[in-house]
This record gives sequence, C-alpha cells and structure tokens, in this order.
Amino acid sequence: MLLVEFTINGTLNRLSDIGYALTNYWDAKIMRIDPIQYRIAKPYGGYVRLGYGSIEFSPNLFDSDWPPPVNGAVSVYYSATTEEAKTLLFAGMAHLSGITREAVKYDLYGPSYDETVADSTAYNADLDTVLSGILTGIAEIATVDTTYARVSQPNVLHTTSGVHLAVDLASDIAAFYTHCFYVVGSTAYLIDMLLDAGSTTLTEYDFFPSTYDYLNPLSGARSGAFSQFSSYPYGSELSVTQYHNSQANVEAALVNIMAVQHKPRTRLRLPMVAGSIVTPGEKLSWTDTALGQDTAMWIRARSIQYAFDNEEIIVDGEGAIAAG
Amino acid sequence: MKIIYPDKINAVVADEENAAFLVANVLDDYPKKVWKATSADARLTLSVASGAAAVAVFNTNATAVSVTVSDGISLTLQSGLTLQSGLTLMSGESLSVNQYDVDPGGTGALWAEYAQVDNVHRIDLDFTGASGTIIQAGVVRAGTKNEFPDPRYGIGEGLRDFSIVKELNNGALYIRKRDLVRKFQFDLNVTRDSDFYTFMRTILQQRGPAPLAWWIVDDTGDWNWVVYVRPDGFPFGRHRASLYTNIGVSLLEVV
Repeated sequence: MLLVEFTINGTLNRLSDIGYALTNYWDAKIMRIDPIQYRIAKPYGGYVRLGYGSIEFSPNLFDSDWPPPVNGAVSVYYSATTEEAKTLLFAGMAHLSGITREAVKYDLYGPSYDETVADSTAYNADLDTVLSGILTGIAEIATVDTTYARVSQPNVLHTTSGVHLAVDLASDIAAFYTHCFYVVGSTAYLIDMLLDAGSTTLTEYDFFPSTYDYLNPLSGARSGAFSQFSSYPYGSELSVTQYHNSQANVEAALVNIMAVQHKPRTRLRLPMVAGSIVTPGEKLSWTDTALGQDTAMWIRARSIQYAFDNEEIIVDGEGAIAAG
Repeated sequence: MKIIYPDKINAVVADEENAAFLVANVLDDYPKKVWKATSADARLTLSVASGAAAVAVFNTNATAVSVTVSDGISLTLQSGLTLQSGLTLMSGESLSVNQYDVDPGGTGALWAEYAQVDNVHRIDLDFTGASGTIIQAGVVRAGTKNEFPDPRYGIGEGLRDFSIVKELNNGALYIRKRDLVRKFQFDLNVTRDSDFYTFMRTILQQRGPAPLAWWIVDDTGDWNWVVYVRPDGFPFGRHRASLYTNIGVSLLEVV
C-alpha cells in the first residue's frame, strides 16, 4: 500500500492511490506518483542517493484550499499490512509545479545536504570513523549505523584540496573502499559492498521475468602512482582518486573495486507484496528456470526503484551466477 | 426502479464516532470511506429538507436498522455543530417507525421509504450489529424518490475487476486483488414525457457522472439491486414514437 502524508495549509492529509480504511482512512486522492528510487553513485560504491520525481493529486483534495498551496511537507510510506507497520521511503517537501483540469502536480524535494568540508582538512583514521565524522557534520544526519561496515576497517589518510560538498566527499571515499551508504530519516547506513546487509531467498513465484547484464570490463584500475590490472586487457581503464599513500592500502582498494565491477548483474523485478521492501545491500538469491538452463543467481541490492504505478520493485545489483 | 435525487440531507450527527472515521464521511460519494461508531449499536440522526420520501444506506455492517421518521422529536446537536442557516430544531411526533433486516444479499445496503414529508424532518437510523462488531456505514442518502418502470427483459449484472494481474517468472500469475465492483446493464421503456425527461434531464443531466442511490429492480423487493452507482457512459434514448422511449442504461458501482 502506498501511503502519503501531505500537509496542506497546516492540516495533515492521509492519502493513497486507492482508499484504505486502516487506523485512519487514507483517502484515494493520488492520481500518479513517479517511482521513488535509490541509485548508487558508482557501480562499486558511494552514496546511494534517494531520487524522486513528482506526485499528482486529485483536484478535489484542495476543495477547501483552492488554489493549491505552493508547498507542503510530504512523507511517502509503503506498508504491506497495517498503518503501524508502514516503512518511510521519503520525507521532504512537495512544491507546486502545475495545475491541470485533471490533476494538481507537485515536484518532490529531499534534504539538500549542502554542508561543505573545508580546504586542507586532514583525515587519518579508520573508514567508519572518517565517514561518521563527515556525515554527521551534515545537519540532517544525526548518526551513522555501521552494523554492515567492513569488519577489518581500512585506514583513510587524506587531506582535502579545495572545498568539497560533505556528502560528495563521503561518497567518493566510501566508493574507493568499496562501501556504500544511504540515509533514512536522520540515520546514515554504511554498508560494505562485499558483505550482505540482510538476505532473502526468492522462488520463481516471487519475481517477474528479469534481465541479466554485465558491465563493460576494466583492463585495470589506477589511483595516483598505484595500479592493478585485470585479466581483461581489452577493457577500459578506471582512474580513481587516491585516499591513502600506502601501496598495500590502495592496491587492496583497487582489487576490490575491480572485483565488484566485474560481477554479473541483474535487473530484478519483484512484486510489491508483503515483505518485499528491499533495502540497499540486501542479498537476494533465486534460481531462474526460464533461461537456457536452470541458473542460480544472487545479487546485493544497489539501486532500488519503488514503482507504485506498476506494482513493482525493481532491484539492480551485482552478485554471482552459476548453473542451477 | 427508483432513484433518490436530489439528496435532501441538511445535517447528520452520530451518537458515537471514531475520531478517525467521522460521521461526515457518510455524506461523501465514497462507500469505502466509512463512518465508524464505537460499539455494536449506534444512531445516526439526519435532518432532512422538505420533499423527501426515501432513505438509503450503503456499505454498512449492521444486521438490522430501525428507521424512525419524525417531524418532531427534539433535536439536540452534538457539541460543536451548528444548524445550517434557515433550519430550526423542532419537536413533534413520530411519523413512522420501521425495522429492517439488513444485508440479505450480502451487500450491506438498506432502502427504506416513507410517506413524503413536506417539511423539514428528522430521520433516526438505529444500527444494530453482531456482538463485538463496530458499526460502520459508507454512504447515507435521503431525498426525493423518483420512480420509473422496472427494466424490461430483466437486467444484466456482472463485475468489473480493478485487480492487478501480471505474469511471474515461472508463468504463474502474481495477483493483487483489489476492488471488484458490480456493473449493470438494462433497457428501460418509459414515457417520453415525462419519465424520459425526468430521468435524463432532471436527474442525470444535473448529477452528471457522480453516483446516485439506485434501486434498479424494486418490484420483487430484492435489496441485491440497491446500489450506489454511477453511469458507465451516459444512457442513450431512442424515441419509438411520440409517447414512449427506449433507454439503454449501463451502471457501475462506486467504491
């Protein structure tokens, strides 16, 4: 169930695409909503940014508030069962973008995360310490959950050159060490790209026909004076910023980057049903009997699209493939 | 066939009300958006304008409803409510009391009629449900009773499905059941003047695509055909001669 809280001129409205009589009544006033999606900065890690488009409401939602207000606070939830069990997907502002005869359209805006890191800021600590320091410097982020960070934390040794957006700097450092992070509410979740952040096993009753892809191969990865080469000399070379001056530290990071980059990928389409709200880093395993031969596959969720209009959750991620 | 239009309810109050499911919900056009009481018996009191002769209730879980029409028992408005301009609280006598068993067909609908009252009057709906249930009702309408001949040659009845059905990887189907609503198709043979014009101009042209309280076939007394429906495409009449008109009608239940 799509559940949306939208505050109009100080009054909280509970809305949905079809009417739901839960603890409260969620009025059927949503005409259309763009998919809400997590999208990872780089295939091998970084900030899993929440993307959002627009939402269209039935004009009669504003019968007592015409013309529609310019903006209002909005929260988008999903629940498979009860109002109390709803999961927050997005919280931000809706800003009026258009009025037609059929609908009133608002664009969605999330937090801006506009804090910066000063020039010549020096870091020399474990990855989670460095990232926690950067991320909690952002006003909207209070804590960093490191439950699924790498057990043996790499050290970060870096001094900034120039002013950086804090969230972008954190994204680049996390990606270099094959970590990703995403933010829900005031908590940032740091996840090792080489670990499972929860796991789910699917049967063929649990997903729609899906596609299997591979990224273009890398011939090698370079960072400063250090480099590593792959077994695909015909691929392109990747160049990344260096966040340590130790050869072992950087080369280990480059090996991990190429390992993640070369994993098989899947664009998995799931029905939006009970228990199927997937979060970044979650491992999904299944066997597909619709290919040339039975195929066992698993991925870790990286980009996740909640397509309410199509009743689907579309998950992109990398993993492993084997004969089933 | 009978249609309640125009609706003449001026105000409605409940003796019990869940704060999240207000009594005002019975006045909107959404049967699923219900008023909820707090127990298995509750009362709705309607203040109804002059000219009404029928009352209908949709999507109630009550098993029985007592309908009391009066032009007079003292009205007491709930705290915070005010009378609409031009209305007065009256006292007087009961005009009719009828007890109805609801839901013989599983549709949660009630249709009650009374001698037309040409004054502002009051209707008390006393709902009784099974032990442990919380009384609820989706839509209540009271107003002018418009009568027409029942459809000729019977009626067609089916379902329209709003469920989502998609094929899964192994060929099985993913099904998310959503509302299935009833649809009806039938032909009317009515007098051109005045039934056709009343039906097309006085009712449908005024109400437009919005739903109406409708008893499609009333001669059998079957409440299965008491429905809150909207035109599924507007009816088209064919004047056979100067006196009679055939009308094809298609209706769709609202949710």
